[in-house]
Amino acid sequence: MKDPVTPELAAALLAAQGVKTTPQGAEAGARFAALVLGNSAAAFALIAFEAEPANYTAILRKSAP
Amino acid sequence: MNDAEILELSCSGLAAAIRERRVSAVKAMEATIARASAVQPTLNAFLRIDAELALVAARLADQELARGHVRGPLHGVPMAHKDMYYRKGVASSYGGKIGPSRPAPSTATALERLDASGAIQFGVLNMAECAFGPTGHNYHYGHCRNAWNPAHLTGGSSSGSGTAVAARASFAALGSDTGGSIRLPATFCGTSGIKPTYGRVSRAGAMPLSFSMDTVGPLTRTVEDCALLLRALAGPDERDPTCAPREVPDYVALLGRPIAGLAIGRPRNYFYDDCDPEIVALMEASLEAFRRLGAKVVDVDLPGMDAWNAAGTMIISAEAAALHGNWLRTRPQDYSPQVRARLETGLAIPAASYIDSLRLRATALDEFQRAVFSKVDVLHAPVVSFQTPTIAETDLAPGAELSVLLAKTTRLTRPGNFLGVPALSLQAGFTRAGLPVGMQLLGRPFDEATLLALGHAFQGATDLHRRAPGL
Repeated sequence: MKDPVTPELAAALLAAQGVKTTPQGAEAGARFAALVLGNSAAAFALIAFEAEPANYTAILRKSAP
Repeated sequence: MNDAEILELSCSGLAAAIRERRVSAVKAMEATIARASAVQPTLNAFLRIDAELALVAARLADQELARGHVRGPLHGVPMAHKDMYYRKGVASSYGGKIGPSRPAPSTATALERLDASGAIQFGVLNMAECAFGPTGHNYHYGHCRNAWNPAHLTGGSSSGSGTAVAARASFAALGSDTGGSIRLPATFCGTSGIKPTYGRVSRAGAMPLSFSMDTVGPLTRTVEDCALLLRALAGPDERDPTCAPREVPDYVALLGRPIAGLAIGRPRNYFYDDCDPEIVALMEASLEAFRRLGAKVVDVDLPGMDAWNAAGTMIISAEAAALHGNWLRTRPQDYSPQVRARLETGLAIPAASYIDSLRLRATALDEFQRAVFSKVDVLHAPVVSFQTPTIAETDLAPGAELSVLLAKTTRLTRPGNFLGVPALSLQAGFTRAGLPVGMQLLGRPFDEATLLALGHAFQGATDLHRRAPGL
């Protein structure tokens, strides 16, 4: 399968945000996005529909001994 | 007391010597500045030494003492800090060209609290550019070098903090830890260091990198000093809305609590994947020392670590890219190619994935606590899985090889930031090449006291923290 995030796509995403990257930057962006999105996809699929970021702080503070 | 004897003291030892008038604050400051100046050409640890101002402050400290006034438990102790903590009237460098062009309008809470404890800042320390690098390389101010062997890296991003403390050129130093930036230099340089629970220490007036993951903490020579400094630093702060409204325990008084019967977890998975055999042996030896102290060692299985590492990486990258977005658009040439490429990666993260990373944190913390803290009191693990490389072999241009190095360096530290739990790093031994290796102890949220008590007991039974580099 072709890499899901190509350097061209990464460069285009950055350009759309006003950042002109280098070939090395585009390659790094593509490699990075493919890696972290791939490693997290299964875990993200299991997150409860209602989960929200603020729950984290609540659990952190509630867990203190 | 001569200069060499002064410089071998810990923070608590020097503070006691100053209070008891066995050494003056001026004498301690002169000895520290002389040492810092002597090692600077070799280590490149300092970005600035404010000798004149520091000596004025030291004279004032001696005068106050003569009148019977002790500011606090660190009265007269010289320290330098990572150059990302704001001091009113001074512009921080952030370890690069990007940074505030005007002097700071107010002082960081962490510095204010150390000032109130009587510590005297005498300089600012080298660091990874914008605190975004785990190796200690700096392409603006020169790479920081390891006090145990200057050909080797220090770890980062608190590179100057690690090597200056190890070299006896500062009695302690503030670092910051977003993905391992206190624990990595502590390990590579052979010091102690604590990454507190997220929200335990105020971030107000500290350069932000990732507001969801940034923590502020000290690097010191002993765990006792970590306790002393954390006691001074921790606590609620209305200037930082993420700072927890919790009382601060007396970490120093709690150092002596019994550790016999405490259960220490040894991870069966993740932390020892592809781990260097010498590091594995040193971890086992440190666990054996804990057993001799009466602790139990229990094997534990960890859930979700690879995904949590990836999610933590996304949070840091996306938040850092947002913070630096304007400068990436307008002044990209002012970053080193390595840091620029790394910051830009955050702009390729989809918003939904960043938010999912934040949504995952609560579940992850819950799962981690059930898997670990239902069985043990702390988790023991290596900080890195490989021996300290040289600066030259890790001096890489942006590309696949650099990405692999950076990912490998923070793989064992970043999950602690994602979960937000406290982590103490301390000396575990030395490799055959004579370089230090550290271990980390991860604890329940806001339970720094148990980590510190265990680390202090370990240092009471070993002499690793007393060994000094032969500079």
